[in-house]
Amino acid sequence: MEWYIVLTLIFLGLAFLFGIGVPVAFAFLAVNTVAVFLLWNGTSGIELLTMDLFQSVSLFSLLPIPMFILMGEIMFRTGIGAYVFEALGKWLGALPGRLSLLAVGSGTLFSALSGSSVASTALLGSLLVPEMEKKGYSHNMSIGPILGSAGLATMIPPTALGVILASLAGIPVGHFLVAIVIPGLLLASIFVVYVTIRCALQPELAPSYHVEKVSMAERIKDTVKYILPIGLIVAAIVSLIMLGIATPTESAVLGAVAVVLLAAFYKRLSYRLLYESLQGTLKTTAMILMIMTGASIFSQVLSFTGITENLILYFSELSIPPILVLILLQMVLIVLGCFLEPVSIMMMTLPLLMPIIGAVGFDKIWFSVILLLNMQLATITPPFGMDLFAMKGVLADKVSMGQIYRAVIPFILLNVVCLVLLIMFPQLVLWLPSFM
Amino acid sequence: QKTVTRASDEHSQEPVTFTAVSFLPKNDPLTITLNEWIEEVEKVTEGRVKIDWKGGANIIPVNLQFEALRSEIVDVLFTYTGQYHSQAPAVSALPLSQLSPWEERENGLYEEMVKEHKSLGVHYIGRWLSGSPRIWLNEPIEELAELDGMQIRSAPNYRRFFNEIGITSVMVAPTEVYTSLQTGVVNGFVYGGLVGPKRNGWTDASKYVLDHPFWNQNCTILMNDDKWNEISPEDQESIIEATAAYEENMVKHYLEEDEAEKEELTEAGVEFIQLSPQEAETFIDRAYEVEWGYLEDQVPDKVKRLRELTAKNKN
Amino acid sequence: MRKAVDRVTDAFGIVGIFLIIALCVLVLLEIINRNMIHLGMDWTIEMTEYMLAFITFCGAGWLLKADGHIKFDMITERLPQRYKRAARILSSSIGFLITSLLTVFGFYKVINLLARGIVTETVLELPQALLIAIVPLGLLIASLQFLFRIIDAVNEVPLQKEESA
Ligand code: NA
Ligand code: NA
Repeated sequence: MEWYIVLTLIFLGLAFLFGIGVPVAFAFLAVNTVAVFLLWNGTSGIELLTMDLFQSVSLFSLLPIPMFILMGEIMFRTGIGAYVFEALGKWLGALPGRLSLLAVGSGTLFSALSGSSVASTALLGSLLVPEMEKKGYSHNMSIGPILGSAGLATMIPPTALGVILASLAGIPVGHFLVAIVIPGLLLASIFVVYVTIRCALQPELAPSYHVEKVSMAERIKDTVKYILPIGLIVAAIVSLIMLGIATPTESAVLGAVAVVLLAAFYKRLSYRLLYESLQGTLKTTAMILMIMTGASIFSQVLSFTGITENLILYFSELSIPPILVLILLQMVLIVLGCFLEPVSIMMMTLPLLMPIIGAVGFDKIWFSVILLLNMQLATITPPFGMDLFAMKGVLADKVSMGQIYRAVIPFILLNVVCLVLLIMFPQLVLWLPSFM
Repeated sequence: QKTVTRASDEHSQEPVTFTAVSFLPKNDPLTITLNEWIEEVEKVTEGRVKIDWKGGANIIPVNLQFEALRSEIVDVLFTYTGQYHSQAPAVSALPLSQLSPWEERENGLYEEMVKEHKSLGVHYIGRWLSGSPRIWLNEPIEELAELDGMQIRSAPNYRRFFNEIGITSVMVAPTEVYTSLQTGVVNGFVYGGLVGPKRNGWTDASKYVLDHPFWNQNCTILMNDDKWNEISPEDQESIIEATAAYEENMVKHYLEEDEAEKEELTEAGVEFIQLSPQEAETFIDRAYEVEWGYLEDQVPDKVKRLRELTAKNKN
Repeated sequence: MRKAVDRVTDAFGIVGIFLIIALCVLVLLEIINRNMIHLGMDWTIEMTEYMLAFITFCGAGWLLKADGHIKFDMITERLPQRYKRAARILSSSIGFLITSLLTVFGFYKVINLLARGIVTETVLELPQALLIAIVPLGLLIASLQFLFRIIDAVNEVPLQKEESA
């Protein structure tokens, strides 16, 4: 069967299954089953598919997902998260959209710990969104900033996606990890500016609630009691990584265990709460990882048809100025990112892209940083984005998929703004590594 | 000559296109010679056998690829013996061979390996990639004893040897190797061939190469047996001849690459360190003996012959 | 019958929770071992990976019982009652069909791997059949839960009467 017929069938099939309400994970499963039957030698393909399902989630790099979810569950259910939030709030005063800014700040902070934006989304989503909704924040100012800043997990080291990209692109990992720092912080700043301006213009999105005047003594007391322990945990974990005692992925487990111990220390932890938190963790983890099995096999199937390769080759062979090729390629990648997962896109396209970039004479590190930002974008662009699914997973019935889509759109555009800035000013990327 | 070709044309099979996958990505510098092999196959069969190389792990995850080959989901596989050696332990003699691919074809090791692979339902066509594993370290060493208790990033096939010389094998996920070397979770790594570590940035931390390469390359070109049998005997023969020629060029190519890489590594401040001649001999000896000891356990009746077939002619 | 299946489903959930705890313990042990005891536990990464897959498939069916899987509700929510019910029956039937099909082929593969004695090409060299079996087991639970959903949707008696009248 011709690849374009298979492709059309695949997309029509998926659209139909989603439309009638088949759960996302099982819709992928259905389409994958049919596709491997057609492409992978009939029933032997379906047999191999069952092994592939196991394979696609038995990956060490996925470990932070259950661990961050557990962290979020414990902090949310025991109320520790709320304490920390209150204590931070007492310092922030009457800034417009302060909780949203807090979300961006936490996202940036956690990004130094986490290499996985899905894990960050699950943690921040379960922790912050309920609190923000309680204070009357709109989805635009709760879900949006979290989805945006969780993506910083990818743009600030450590970053699993970044390491995969650097090794697939064949560029020095060390230089690359240094090169993404300024773009990462730039993105965070863009979010801060946006949130401040938007909330100043439309206060109803983030109503300023009354905060009782608190004395400096009380602020300091709360800080010592609630913020300091969390800060110490974060510092301890970063030190353990730096000292070579634990790897970044392993440190997610340390974080989860530390939060459990902290909850016990505050005497907020009961066996029932612990059990419920674990149950919640299993629920969200299974849900996210089941979708991941579907999405990763889905991209294997697409790879097998060769469509992505054809697409990239077509655009790169147009006889237009290199910079236009670059921009067109970014647009193609954004479109691919709407439907596919970053790792799959990178595995499919990097083998084609890097030689083209080399031939045109662009700096490979510069291009790779732009690409990483683009790939991070793929996790938040509708209709398929693992961060979006993770957000829906932790919030369950509290929001609809449509509300999540609407909330994330401004942040997608801000990502694109950052992308454009990086293309216009390569120094933003190349300045730091030039010292190495 | 020409009449023979024409005659075989008449009763040879329809042109076939076989799908292939590899364990490394398609653009990896290490896989570059595979394109030549594919071209040669098409040329010598006059287009009757075409190979459509789809890609690497993005098509089928690496550790499912051998199963996919057996199930005719793919027809050709560029892999390494570590992906299936538990199913036919004798194939582990390939990395223990001290011969060049062409010597292996002459002395009968090649035939022996074809037989072993046949028992798994696949046809062993030949080797690809050359270059032996070396240990790369964060700190220089002067004697073998210093390796004792050292934590080195390893892979399953190095465990027996590392145990033997006191190295602690640590498994580190590919995405974490860079950081683990930087922060000292591990004090080095083992890598087959010289090309790769620098590109991965691993030499940022590990600047000392223990320059005693041990073992041989274990990469193989395999075809599903049923698909192999679809090819006419004449074409099978030309493919085997072409592969033998490819192996010579391939070895030459990777040797040159290794030379060039060695220069670049030295320029980048990587040092190649040597043990004393005696210790070097012990090191290499143990590398081979521990593996032969293992094969003695696994396939006692085959070990004697395999040792003969892989040993260098001492004359 | 249904009660029994639901109990087995819950058991899968408990196994999943137990595995999350075990995962934490294992990684902690590995960190302690690597830095202090040096026992050479070079199988922990591999074990962690298997546990992640087991957690996923233990949770998959269990989650279905709680209706915890994400779906796109944008279209079905806007449908009139009777179509909504039809969509429910259809989507659950497709879910049932796919999961039961994969259960059958999955078990078939497991038996095949068992017969050939295939082990993982890793440190632990575990029988592949032992690992892969969790996939058809998890999907079997999922298929039974889909079946219950179909029955539930069909048996919504008041709805059915109103609509056919
Ligand atoms: Na990060
Ligand atoms: Na997307």
